[in-house]
Amino acid sequence: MNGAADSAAPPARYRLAPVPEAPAGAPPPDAASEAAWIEPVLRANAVWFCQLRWLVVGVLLVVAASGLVPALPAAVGLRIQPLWPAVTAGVLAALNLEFMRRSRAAGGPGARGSIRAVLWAQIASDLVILTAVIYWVGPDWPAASFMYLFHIILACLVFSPGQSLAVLGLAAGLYGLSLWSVSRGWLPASTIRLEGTGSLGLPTPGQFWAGLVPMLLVWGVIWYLVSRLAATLRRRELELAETNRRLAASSEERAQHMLQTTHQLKAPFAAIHAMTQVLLGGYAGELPPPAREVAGKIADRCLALSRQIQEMLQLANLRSRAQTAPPLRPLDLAGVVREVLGRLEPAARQRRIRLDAALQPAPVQAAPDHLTMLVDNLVVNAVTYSHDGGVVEVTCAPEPGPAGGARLTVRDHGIGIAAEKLPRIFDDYYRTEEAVAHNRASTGLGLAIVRQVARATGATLEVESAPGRGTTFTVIFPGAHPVTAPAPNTPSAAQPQSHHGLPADR
Amino acid sequence: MAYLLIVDDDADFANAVATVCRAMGHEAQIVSTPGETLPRVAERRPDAVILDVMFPEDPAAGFQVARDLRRHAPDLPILMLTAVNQQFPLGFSHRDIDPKWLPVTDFVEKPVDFAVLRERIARLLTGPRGEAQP
Repeated sequence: MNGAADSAAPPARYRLAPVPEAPAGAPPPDAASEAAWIEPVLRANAVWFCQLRWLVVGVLLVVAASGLVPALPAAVGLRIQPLWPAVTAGVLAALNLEFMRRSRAAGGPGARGSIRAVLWAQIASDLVILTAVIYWVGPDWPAASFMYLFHIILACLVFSPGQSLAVLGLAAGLYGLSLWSVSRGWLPASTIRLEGTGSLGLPTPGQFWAGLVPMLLVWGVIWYLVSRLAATLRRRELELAETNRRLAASSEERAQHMLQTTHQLKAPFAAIHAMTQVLLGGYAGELPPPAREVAGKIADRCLALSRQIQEMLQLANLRSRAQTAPPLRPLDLAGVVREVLGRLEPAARQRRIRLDAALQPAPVQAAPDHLTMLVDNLVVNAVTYSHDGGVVEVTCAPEPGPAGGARLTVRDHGIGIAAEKLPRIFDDYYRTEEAVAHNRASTGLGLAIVRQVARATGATLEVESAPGRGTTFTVIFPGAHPVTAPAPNTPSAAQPQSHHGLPADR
Repeated sequence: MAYLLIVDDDADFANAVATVCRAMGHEAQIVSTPGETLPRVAERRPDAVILDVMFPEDPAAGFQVARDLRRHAPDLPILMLTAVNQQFPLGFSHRDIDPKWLPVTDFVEKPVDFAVLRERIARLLTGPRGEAQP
């Protein structure tokens, strides 16, 4: 049945691959991700090499300058021809300028991969110049063979073991060639010693090999040790970069999931709420009063549930993000407060609650969403526990003194909180009996969110309250930079009957 | 009488909004997928669009629809009406209204009070075009 169709269309297949485990014992990340990680490191190294090379240019110029006053090098038994180091310094400087240009350009679009070529060109030209300098200084200079070790070690650090071995081979070839050329008389022997070449005596081929082979052994041992160590470090670093990438990806995924969940949970309540308003607004005909009351209760419960969902998700997200807090940015607290008050004003007006604001520009360092959430929850809390027809006063101002910072106060004249209950009000779902009696619908999560945000922002929370007279929440934001601003004009508190300071890292 | 186009995958919510629009004396039509929006606007240009953000096809389809609408009809007032939180996490609000990223005229969060919705629709139809009105 349906044979033709079945043979034409490939069967649908769905495969759910298990989530790969984190690095411990896992195979190393693939070459592409390694390349993506290593390229910027190589570029930074190429630029760094260029900076180091200017030091060498400087040393060569100093040597050339000392050659201009023969008495100076002669004092330590040397005879310097200024032309050699000066020409070498000039060549090296010209090459270095070009290398710097190429190293910086190599990171650009389309130039990927060429940074290795720049590094190879740097190392090869360095080795050639170094060989020339060593030839000029003289074969009997004891430090000659050690000069090549810088490049071998640097190659081990930035290249793979095979590539750094190639650098070692190149160094050995160049050094050997120069020694061999002198020993065979192809090149005149050169020295900077005052005694002159006559006293040196040219090495025989046997002496040449006897000098070169132990040197190669030393180079080989150093190459083996450094390249092994570098490979281990590079693997660790790569694993760390991969772990970080996964963490960032999972954090992003979680935030997306949170957004979807918020939407999925809130959208049905939005629809139910909209339909109750169709009923209450008389759009579907006039409702008898008892039915209006029921529809009103449905609408209220919808809003309360919607807010509760939002708060639970916010709190869960804040806590799960505690290790990867969003970056703090300089913000004007007054602007955030103004926006929040504008949004909450219609709801307050329905209960004839006036929102009074005295806002001075107050720079703070905070994550914008977090700050909005903190202010929003404090003002909602104040409105919720005010009596109908009451006043909520919100002030913000910069803190006086060189330390800077800012202070936000949210004061209501509502039901208040008893002193012994103050330490618990920032706990999840904690609500005083008076709060429950005043407003059954509130979630008990708003102040937990406030505490979480204050902790993430480094702010200190203070609360003053007197039962039956109202509550004042104060948030003191730390200063990032000294602020020169007038002293805050905070209204003086009526003698508080209790005071509870809550450091942010409680 | 103005003609309003409501773009929302939640039929119940969209119908309730349409009811409000009609009670205000306007004509309202509903489109339930983001893909239908541009053809409907091209067919008959509305005086304003009321646009949701998240659709089952794509959680951010509303943004793209807003950008496409702006390209084709730079003066068209758009009211973004969404259950996406104005706050954290990944929330957005009036502050994020931006000619490139979020090119809408106004922004209201669901659930919405119908008195507020009526006020915003009235403002949308009379307010200066393309400007955020907090």
